[in-house]
Amino acid sequence: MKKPSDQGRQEELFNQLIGLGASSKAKSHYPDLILKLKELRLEKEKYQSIFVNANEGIFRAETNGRVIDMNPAMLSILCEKEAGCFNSDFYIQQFFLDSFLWSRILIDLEKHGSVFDFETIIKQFHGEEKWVSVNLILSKTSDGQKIIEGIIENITERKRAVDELSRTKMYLHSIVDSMPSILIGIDSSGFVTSLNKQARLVTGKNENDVVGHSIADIFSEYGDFFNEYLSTKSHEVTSKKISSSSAPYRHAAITIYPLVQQNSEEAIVRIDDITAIEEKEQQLQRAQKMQMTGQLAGGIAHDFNNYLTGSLGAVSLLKTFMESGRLTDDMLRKNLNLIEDASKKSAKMVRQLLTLSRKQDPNLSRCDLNTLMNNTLDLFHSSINKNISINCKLADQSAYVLADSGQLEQVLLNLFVNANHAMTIMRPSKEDWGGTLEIDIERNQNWEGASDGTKDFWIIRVKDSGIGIPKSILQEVFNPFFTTKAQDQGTGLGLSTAYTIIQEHNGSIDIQSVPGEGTEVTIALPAIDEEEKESSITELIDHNLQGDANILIIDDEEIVMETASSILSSCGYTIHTASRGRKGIEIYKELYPNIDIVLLDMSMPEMSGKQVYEELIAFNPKVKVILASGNLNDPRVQEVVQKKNVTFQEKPFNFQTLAETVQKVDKVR
Amino acid sequence: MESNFSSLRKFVSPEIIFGGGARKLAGQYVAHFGASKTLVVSDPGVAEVGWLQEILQSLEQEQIACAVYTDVSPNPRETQVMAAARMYLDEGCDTIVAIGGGSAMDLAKAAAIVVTNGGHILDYEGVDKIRQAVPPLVLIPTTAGSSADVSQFTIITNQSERVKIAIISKTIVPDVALIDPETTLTMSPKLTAETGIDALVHAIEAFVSTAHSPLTDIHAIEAIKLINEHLPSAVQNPSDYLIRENIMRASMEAGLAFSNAILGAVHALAHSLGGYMDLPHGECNAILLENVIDFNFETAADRYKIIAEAMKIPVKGMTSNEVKKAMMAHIIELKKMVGISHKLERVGVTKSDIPALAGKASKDACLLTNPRKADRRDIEVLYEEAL
Repeated sequence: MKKPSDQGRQEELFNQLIGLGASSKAKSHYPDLILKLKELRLEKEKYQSIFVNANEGIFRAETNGRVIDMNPAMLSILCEKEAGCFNSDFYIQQFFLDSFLWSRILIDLEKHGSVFDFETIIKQFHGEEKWVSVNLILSKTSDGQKIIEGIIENITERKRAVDELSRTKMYLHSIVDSMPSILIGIDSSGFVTSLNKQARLVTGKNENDVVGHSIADIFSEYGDFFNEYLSTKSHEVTSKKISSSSAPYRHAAITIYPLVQQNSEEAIVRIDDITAIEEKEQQLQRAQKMQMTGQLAGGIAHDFNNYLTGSLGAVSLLKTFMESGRLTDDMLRKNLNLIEDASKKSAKMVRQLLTLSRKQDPNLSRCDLNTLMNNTLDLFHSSINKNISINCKLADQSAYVLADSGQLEQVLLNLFVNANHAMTIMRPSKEDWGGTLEIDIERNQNWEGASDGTKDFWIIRVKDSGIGIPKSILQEVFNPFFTTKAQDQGTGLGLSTAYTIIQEHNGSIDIQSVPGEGTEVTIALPAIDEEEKESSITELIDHNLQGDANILIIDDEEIVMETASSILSSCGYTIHTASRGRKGIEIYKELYPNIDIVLLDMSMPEMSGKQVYEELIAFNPKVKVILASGNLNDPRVQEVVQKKNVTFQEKPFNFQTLAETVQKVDKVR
Repeated sequence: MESNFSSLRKFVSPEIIFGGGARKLAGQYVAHFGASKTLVVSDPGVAEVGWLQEILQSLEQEQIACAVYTDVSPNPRETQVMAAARMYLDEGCDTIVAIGGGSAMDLAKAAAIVVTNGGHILDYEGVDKIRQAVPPLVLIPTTAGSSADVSQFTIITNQSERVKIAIISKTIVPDVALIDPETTLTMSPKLTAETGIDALVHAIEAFVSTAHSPLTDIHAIEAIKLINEHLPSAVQNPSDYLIRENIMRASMEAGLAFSNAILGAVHALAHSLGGYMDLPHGECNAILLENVIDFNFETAADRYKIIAEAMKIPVKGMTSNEVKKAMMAHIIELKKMVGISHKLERVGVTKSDIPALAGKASKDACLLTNPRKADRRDIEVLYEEAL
């Protein structure tokens, strides 16, 4: 920039001195004033806009309540219908429904300087009532005047919504409480968040006692189940039947429903009392079994009759020959063998029938499917139509599964009965009766049907060449009471029961059928490993079955007592007998301590074997008892057998089995 | 005339109330501004004679609160200016009233600059440096001479540099001047003489200024006439109110003239001298006056002739030089009559001080409107002649 000349600078200074410089002016506040006014206007606009457009009513009042300024929202809160309500002075307190409220507010204002979120009802200019929230501040104007500044919000709608919400909540709550199920909310860690009335009733605890506690602790009987859920966090609905003596319900169905909302891992636990349903189901199963037994009875009776015929024939023959003195040793052995054979077969049949009528709780134990199949076929054999040929292909090795053999027999019998019917009575009238029943058992170590990932299964196939099942009803055959048979031929429970039993065995059952060609049922059961056979006890038995102990036999059946006495005497034992329990106890006490073993019958008149045992054990806690019974599954038998120093002897027994049992007991002297 | 930069002229004046008792309107006029609290600046001498108390009462009557600042020395210092400004801000004042001589009024004007413009008072040295309008200023002079109550000047002493600085701006022309001759009744003869000669210098310099105009000429000539006629009797009869009134009016008119037409070499030299020696302004002006007239005369002989006529010097038939001689003699005689006959030596100035004094004076803005251009050497000579 060019430096101004000396002359130029002097001229500028001269002009400035005489007041004619570029910025020279007499004093004026006006430019400042304009600037300040503009700022004020902008500020005012800003606050005015907030004031005018606010949804909340804003006002200023004198300390006596006289309103001196208010915004449009305030006007509409106080006076909804007409704009020109206020032509003269008015006081804020004239709108409060509670006439003492204002004096209380004033006291608070004086004390604290402010009142916040005060909810009350106001009566509008035209009489309508509204809920409002009031916020007041005691303020001062710049000239020191005390003034009340307030914000009033119309919360009528909010109040209504809150009421509605709490009503809805109450409604939902009472729905949940009305449920007969136990309903419990749990969080992701299994801690209880809520519980319904039924849950409170059953546990005897209220919300405060259990919220925040682990569900597995509160229902410790089902603890394993909850812990399993918590560790897997299955997103599927899970359900289980759980029975426990200490649990609130004898039979319970527990379902855990993960809550789908909010990405939470919370869940609802539902516990239902299904004891009645379970018992009904058991009754149904029993009924079905009875029906099955009835169906089998005809055939069995026939067989029994044949065995009896054989035995009686042989006996009469022997008697006749003996009386006539023509009885040869040969003839005697031959007929005795005949009698023994017939009796053994009868005994086996009785055992099988007993199995069928056993109590319902699945009694899982190691079973060989081959043996099971043979037993069932033996039982079924006599009932089957003679025109049906059975083609049975068992597994090459022992086919072990963990099962209740009685229940599995029931399933197989059901299938055989169905197959029998399909190939006989259900055939159209013109067709000849008969066909082939194909059975096979084989192992599949790559079975895909299981949901838990196990693959090693035994597969049982039962295939008939009967009439088949139409596709349209194939899906329904497992439903209870579904049957196509005539009314007196089936209850419609067979396959349904079979389905339930197989499910309880963690297996699966499937049915394929082609009408006119036949039906194939496939059962898959998880395979278990073979274990070494128990052999320790048998080794104890001396093959020389001799003994010298004193034995007291208590049995009301003379035949049994005679047989047992003969067998044990022949082994060298000293025998005492009693035909009634009371008598037996007397003898025992009389001869004590010279009785080593008591052979005790379970079923006796006057005093049962159980009662006798109880008196004996009371007298001598070390008493050794062999309990003889035809039915190990009799609960009374089971109860006694589990006691100390009691050994079970199955009836009927023969020389070998009884002598072995006695020797075994005697050896542990 | 050596320079004539512009033919435009401006005239700025406060709202003036002149006359006996004008000071009593202080409360009313401050109230006109809507004031609630005012800073009252005064000096201990004025407070002592009771003028300050009167003003405070007048303000009280109008229910205007006051903060009183009285720490004012004869040449107001920048530290005093800043202290007064701080008081104004701390006390929450909105107006300023000053009652006193030139010192109190200059200090009030300077403090006013700081309270609205911020910064330090020395930042505003020079012409037209003030951006923001200052608070309302009501000034009540108690001496006849300084004319700070009507002028656009304020002169502050920078103590550390031992110089006086001039702040010049139309925005510090006061809002109201309450010019009350009664306040001058208490002036000592010496002060009356010095301030009276000061006013005369103001009028003469404004009249011969290159920035003079008919608007200023009337006031300058009227002031010269009044002082010439009444100053000696004012010194002799201090309690004669009518004489006091004439001198007061002279001072006011001289002030209006010089505030708008600016000054000349006397003031340039006097400013330098006053700052250097801490001497009263009026005394400096009085000592230097006739030497500057001698120096300037030929350049503005016509203007000086009119001044001579106003002093009732019979100029008819005189040559220019004769007029000059007669005028200088008249002024020396006038000064003698009021008791000022001493030269610079008497106030302690020596020859060795002159280069420094001239150096500062040569940079003074007042030289710009002096009718004759003066360089540094000219100024040294002027100081030497006045020794």
